[in-house]
Amino acid sequence: MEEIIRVNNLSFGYPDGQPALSGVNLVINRGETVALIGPNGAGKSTLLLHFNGILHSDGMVRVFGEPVSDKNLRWVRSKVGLVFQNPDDQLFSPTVFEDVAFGPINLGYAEAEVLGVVTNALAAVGMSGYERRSSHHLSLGEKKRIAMATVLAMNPQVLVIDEPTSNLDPAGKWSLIELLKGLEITKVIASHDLELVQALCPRSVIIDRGVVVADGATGDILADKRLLAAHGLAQAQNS
Amino acid sequence: MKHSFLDQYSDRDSLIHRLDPRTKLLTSLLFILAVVLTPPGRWPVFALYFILVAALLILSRVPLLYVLKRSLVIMPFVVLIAVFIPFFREGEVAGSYNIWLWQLSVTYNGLQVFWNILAKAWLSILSLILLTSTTRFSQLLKGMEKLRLPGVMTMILSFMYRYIFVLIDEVMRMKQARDSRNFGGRRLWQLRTIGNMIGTLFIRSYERGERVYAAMMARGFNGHTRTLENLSFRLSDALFALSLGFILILATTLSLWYL
Repeated sequence: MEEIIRVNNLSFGYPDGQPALSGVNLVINRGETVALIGPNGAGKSTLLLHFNGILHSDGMVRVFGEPVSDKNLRWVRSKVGLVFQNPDDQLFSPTVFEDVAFGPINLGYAEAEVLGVVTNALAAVGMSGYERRSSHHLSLGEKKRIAMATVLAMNPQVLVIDEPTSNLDPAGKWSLIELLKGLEITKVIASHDLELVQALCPRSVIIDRGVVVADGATGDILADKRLLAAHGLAQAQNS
Repeated sequence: MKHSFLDQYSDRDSLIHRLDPRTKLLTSLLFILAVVLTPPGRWPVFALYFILVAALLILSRVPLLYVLKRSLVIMPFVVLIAVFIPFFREGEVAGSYNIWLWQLSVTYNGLQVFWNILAKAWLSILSLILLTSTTRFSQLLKGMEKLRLPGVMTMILSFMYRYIFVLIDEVMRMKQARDSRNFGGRRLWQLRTIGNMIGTLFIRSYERGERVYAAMMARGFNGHTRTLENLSFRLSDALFALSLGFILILATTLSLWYL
């Protein structure tokens, strides 16, 4: 199997001294759908921000075998597509079209190409015909789909998604899960929505307090109630 | 929450809507310049300007009642600034009043300047309403960009348009949270709470800015804004700009020599 992302012994602390990650090891292979699960504040989002070099990792993160450094950021970001948790942060342009076109234009695509990839990306998330709408007039579910399209338009090799279903109603959540299931691309999904994990991800990684505490088949991990309870993913057990 | 008070009616279709945003930006600017430069008291010329902007508004098929309501929004500001002028201009006295110890007198000259300021402000705001309600904000931004307005300015305007609603929502939620916990107590305490809210809003906006920047970097942003070239001047743009320019030149010559 081809390695897409490899994280070696990655530690990271925020400027205020709060340690976020300590000694994380992780490998993502092509074609996998991996869930990163863990309680709030476990370091999931921090880890995701390392995958495409938004946070510096001093070569501890490799993409296709290349250490992520300041020199290859452009290339890394065209390979690793990162979808942020809050679509209001991700969608910053006056219209949906401009938002989806932002990445491709920055990658230097020609005009006809940009139009093509924008149309395809919007179709892929079921949002065709929304090009001229303003993001602030959309519902949260629609915004989340558009946010996904903005990244898909860059044709990445791996889609990294932070909490795709947070704040969605059950119907919106399940339609998003179906959508993700249909996307044929390597996916890393950070979430603590165990229904989503069960439905989408064959492999799960539990992160708590900046450490990988479990990595294995989702069925085994979700069956281990004691493990889940110990890391804030199930109701605490009184034993 | 839904808001669209910035460019309402801009997605309708009319002769004016179809013009290039650059044409509309430049002619609006020209119109305002002509209005402002017209000497006071040239009422026929002001009437001409009014007919011009009213004709364009009718052509644009924007509801006139909406235009009227919106144009009145500016009036309190203008009146607040202009209301003292009649009392301080020299000239023939129109009336004088004794209020306790002071004697106030209003001059004809001052009154004329006052009406003149009101008329100019109203005409200008009418033309701006015409501009914003026939041009989508994104198109307007693109037009500014193409007219070589500094990139930083168009970017700030674009972010303002995108995030002003997010911020308004945030303020509303904070107010609701505050009120549901029984905002009351002494004046000083209230001020402190409001101060804290402003501070929190600032920090949240700042952090949102950082997250937005991260999202931009994740999609290959490197400090340069790039957009697709998709504006085009057409024959109708040239005709519109020429005829409007002609009328404005006629009006200004009229106001300078004929009257």
